Amino acid sequence: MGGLPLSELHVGQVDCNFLQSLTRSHLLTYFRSVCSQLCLLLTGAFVIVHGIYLLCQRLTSYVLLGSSSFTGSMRSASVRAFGAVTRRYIEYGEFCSSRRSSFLHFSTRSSAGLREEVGDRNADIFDRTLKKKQRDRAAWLMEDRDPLLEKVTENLLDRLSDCKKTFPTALNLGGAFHYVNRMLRGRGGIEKVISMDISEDMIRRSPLLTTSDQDDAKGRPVEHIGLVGDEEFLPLGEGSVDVVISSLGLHWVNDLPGAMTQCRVALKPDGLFLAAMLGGETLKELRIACTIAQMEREGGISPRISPLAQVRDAGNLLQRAGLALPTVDVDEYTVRYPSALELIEHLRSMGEGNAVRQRNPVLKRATALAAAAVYESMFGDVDGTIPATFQVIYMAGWSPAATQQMPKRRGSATVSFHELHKAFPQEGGPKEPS
Amino acid sequence: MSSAGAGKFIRSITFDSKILQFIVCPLTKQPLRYCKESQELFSDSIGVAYPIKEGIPCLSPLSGRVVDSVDPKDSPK
Repeated sequence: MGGLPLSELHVGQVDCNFLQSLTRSHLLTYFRSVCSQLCLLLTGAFVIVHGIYLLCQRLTSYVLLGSSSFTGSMRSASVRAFGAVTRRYIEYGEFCSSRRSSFLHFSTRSSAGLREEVGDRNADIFDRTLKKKQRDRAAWLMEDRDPLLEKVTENLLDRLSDCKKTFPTALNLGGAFHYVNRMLRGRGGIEKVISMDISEDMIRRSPLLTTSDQDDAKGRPVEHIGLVGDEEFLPLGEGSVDVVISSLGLHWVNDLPGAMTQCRVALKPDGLFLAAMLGGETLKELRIACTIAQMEREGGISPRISPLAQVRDAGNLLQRAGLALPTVDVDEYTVRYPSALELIEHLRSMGEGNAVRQRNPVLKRATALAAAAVYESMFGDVDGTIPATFQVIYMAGWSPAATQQMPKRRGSATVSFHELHKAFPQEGGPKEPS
Repeated sequence: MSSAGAGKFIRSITFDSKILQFIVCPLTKQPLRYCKESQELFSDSIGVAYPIKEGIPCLSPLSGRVVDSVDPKDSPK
């Protein structure tokens, strides 16, 4: 660069030559270097801040929700495992159909090994691996005498004493099966109980049994067998048990028609299927509070309560499973809690955490507190407690047998309607057919 | 809220072979073969082995192990 040496400059005199010598390219280079440095600095800062933010989010959700947010990596491994086993099954299915053996029908999901296709193959609403982990945790948290589970199980087992028939072998499916084992007390003449649950820790947890609880109707001790298995893939052979009891165990099953069909297949002819499930009105207050809080805080909603069966669907389910003489009852229980947090703790201790696949794994602290506040303001009582509704659907069905009452075959009538009309007088008789 | 307590867990139960008359493979509904040495229940038709963990058979498809294939053991459980 040209210009006068410094010693020649006077104070206040700008070296015009210096300014003139600054060409456009120099300015551009200088400007470009400054910009690139700024960009690098900003990107670096953004990456660090964002990383810290994500880490904090994960930690918060871990604290609030337990281990549900860390299931991602574990799930992929078990999905791979599931894939390997079902790949084998796929090959076996093809092998069978190539040999024209008609006793098996291949299905990826449920209704496995059944002749007719009755299940919902594409239903994948619940994450079963996550449900298993939640029940593992609940095995440690569950109370021995939970009043809600006791009441529901007592109501369910009452229906056993309404039957004159005895059921020597029973299958106890998931949910509150410890309560069923404890409160059976010889009802229904049950001598052997096979308890099945998807979580191993639940099976290992020893129930609170006294010696008298363990006796059946004849005074002999009831035999208990524990088994780990999935309700959607029932590992019981055809016609092996007399009664299937499920106390709050079927509302986390993906393919409910398929599961109930497998239960019917596992039952001997004229066997009983008894189930208590949570219905659609359950936790409606919590549902409303969560929706309002999420709309306010996050601007959108994600499922916080799992989809539950409606009462009107229960009868269809029983018929679709092929169970005869279906009966459906509904009961609503209102439980009071000091605050919404105790309600969530109770749900977790029963293993009823959210396992819907579409759930948002992150729960912001602000949203959670807002939901609790909305719950209290909308549904709170004068004494400060909040109610929670549990709607339980009791279903009962019998596996078909020749000894049951059935409608007569079509076309087997011996008297025509016209003759019936003539036989009855006009008043109080049937209306005249047009 | 009282916790269940660790002392209430049963650690080990002996596996009773009488259960074999009830249980079948959850996928194919075929009978299972009990192997005492490896403590597994084999479903021969599809070549899957289900473990028996401390006396409790684990018959969910997730815990099955595919045998006689190129891939070694998979399931984490």
